[in-house]
Amino acid sequence: MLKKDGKPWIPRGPRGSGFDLVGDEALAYRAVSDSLDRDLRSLEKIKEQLNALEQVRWERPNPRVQETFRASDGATWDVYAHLVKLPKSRILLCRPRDGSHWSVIQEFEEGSAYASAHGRREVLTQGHNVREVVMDYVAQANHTLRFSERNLVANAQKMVWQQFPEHNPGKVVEALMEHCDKAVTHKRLIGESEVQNIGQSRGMRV
Amino acid sequence: MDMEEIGISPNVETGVPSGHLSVEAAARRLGLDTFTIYSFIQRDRLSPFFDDDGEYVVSEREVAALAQPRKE
Repeated sequence: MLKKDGKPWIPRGPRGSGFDLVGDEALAYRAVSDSLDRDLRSLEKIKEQLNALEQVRWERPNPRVQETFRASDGATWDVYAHLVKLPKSRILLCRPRDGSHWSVIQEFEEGSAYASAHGRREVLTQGHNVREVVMDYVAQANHTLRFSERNLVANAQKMVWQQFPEHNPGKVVEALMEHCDKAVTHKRLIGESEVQNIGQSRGMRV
Repeated sequence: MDMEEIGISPNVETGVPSGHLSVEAAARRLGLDTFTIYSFIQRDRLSPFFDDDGEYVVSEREVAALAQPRKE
């Protein structure tokens, strides 16, 4: 950790702005941010995958099938892309072999309590325009990221106020909020209009 | 609706109100990740509540229902 005048120091904002964390503030910040690190890194990893999806040219003339699966109704589905890897599931871009519409499907781990009860796969977004279907999913997932971040911040606040009530907790929490926000903020905004009015069938089992 | 309105008291050890689970505990019970639990909350498949610290918790009953096959 950096030091200033012999004290732990975390510079923030413009020089002389008073936002820097010094001494016990810096130690409190470091302790709490270290304990959030695993969760935050997991969110960052998801965000990176979502950002990458925004850069892909989805409208390709002959997309390659990567794998197939048989749905609970016996229909065969082709998987064209692995969109996101989550810790206990994966998000796939698929199309039924005898259909023309695209679906983003979440595939759960085999044997999980949820998959045993509801089947391994669920449709998250659906439509005829592949880019719109993927971007609709990206918008949903970015919203979920924000939601997850909100809980992480609440957790950070709790830790700061419980463990470091004497160390200028308001200022430390503000720095932690900024830290969490950076992890899940979009690198660029998604055109919201692109993801409206798409034929959807969310949560449908396949 | 908040905790007091529905008359639930927190578990002293975990801080999670009785009859409720943290998002992490719900994920473990269903064999899912926390990100998926948050997406279930967004899609109204689980109702969110706040504990005293402002963290989301979910109803244990609703989580148990998600572990049961859906009635067609």
